[in-house]
Amino acid sequence: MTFDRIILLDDNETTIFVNTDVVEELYPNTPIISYTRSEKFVEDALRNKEWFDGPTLLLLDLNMPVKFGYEVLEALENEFEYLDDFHVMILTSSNLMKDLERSSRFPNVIGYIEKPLTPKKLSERLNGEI
Amino acid sequence: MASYTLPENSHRLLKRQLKKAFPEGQWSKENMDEFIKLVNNSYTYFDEDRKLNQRAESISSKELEYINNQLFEKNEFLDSFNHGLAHDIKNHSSNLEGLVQMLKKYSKRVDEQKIHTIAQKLGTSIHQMNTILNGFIYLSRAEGRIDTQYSIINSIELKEEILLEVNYLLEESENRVEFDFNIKNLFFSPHILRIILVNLISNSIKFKNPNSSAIVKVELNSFNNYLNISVKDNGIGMDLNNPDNQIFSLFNRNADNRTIKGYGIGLYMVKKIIERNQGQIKLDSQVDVGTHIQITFPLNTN
Repeated sequence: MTFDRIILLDDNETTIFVNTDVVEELYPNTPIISYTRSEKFVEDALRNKEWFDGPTLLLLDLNMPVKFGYEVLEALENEFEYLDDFHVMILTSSNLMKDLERSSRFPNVIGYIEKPLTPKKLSERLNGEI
Repeated sequence: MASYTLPENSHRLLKRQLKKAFPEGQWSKENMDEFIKLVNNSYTYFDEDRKLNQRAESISSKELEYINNQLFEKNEFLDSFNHGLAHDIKNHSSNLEGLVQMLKKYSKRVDEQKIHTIAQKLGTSIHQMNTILNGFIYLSRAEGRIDTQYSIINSIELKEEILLEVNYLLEESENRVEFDFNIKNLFFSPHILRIILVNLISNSIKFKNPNSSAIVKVELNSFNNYLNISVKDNGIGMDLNNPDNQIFSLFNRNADNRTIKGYGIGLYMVKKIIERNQGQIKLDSQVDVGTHIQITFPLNTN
């Protein structure tokens, strides 16, 4: 599976730093855009609707205590009817289904990866799910 | 002359009363009066005992209810605390794992610049994890053992103690705290007062406006047997209409500004303490103008 762009969204800068390296290893030629603030990402996503014309992968942090990921998914869902080529992989610090249920109702969510993200996990999940 | 034999399984008290009233086993009006008096006394004692028991039961069930509520509250707190803590620590340990993987990868390629950055990030992650753990230790200590003992507080000493605790935030900057204490001596819990003031002042400085220095005005006065605490700052403020700004919940940092360090336990603690001591808290805030927090406690006049 190839993408036109891969977007990283996590409120922790170190996580972005590590995950950028992981993604670069797997997709050395794909542009990576990263955000530490969800509202900035949503703002940019609405301004750059062409992002969703080609295949786009969003690696989304599900920061449980401060509700972070859901708002993004909700905001995008409200704005776009259905994004055909937009794929969301959720990164979570928990493998508890209870924690994940809420996000699984979004059709663009293609899977979950329990942190830490590694090239192996990412390629396995992407090839297995799509 | 009539005599009467009690059945075998009669209560021993009744047997005793009969024996006392009818020592010879012979019936007479006097004996009968004595017997009725004895039985009547028994009923009276019985009634009194029953009332006493009921009172004891109701007191202990009220006590149990109270303790139960406290346990429930504490459990709920521990639940959400553990959940948040576990996630936060997991995030950081995942980062550490990732950074070590990177270190292995780049040390083979002798990429000095990259290795330097990784080392820096490792330091940051460890620091963040330590902040969490310190908060955890602080909270687990403070939750259980907040000293609610009242004593006479000298406002000048209180000022000095507070400044000592927030000093690290004031150093090397133009930030300042202005005290206006309208009371010389105050009969209140010094521990509670200190926790509240230190937390609020620290927050005001942490959430300062990046373009100007922080000025935090702290007022303390008593009026009509109420203690009024007011902490007002010129910081970044917050949008109180944003449902994410539930600043008194555990782990909820200011949603408008996620980059500011903090563990989201300070205000939670403050609110818990206020609730437990019959106080009230009022919050006013405006983005880019500042935040004003007012707290009132009933003062114990005894």
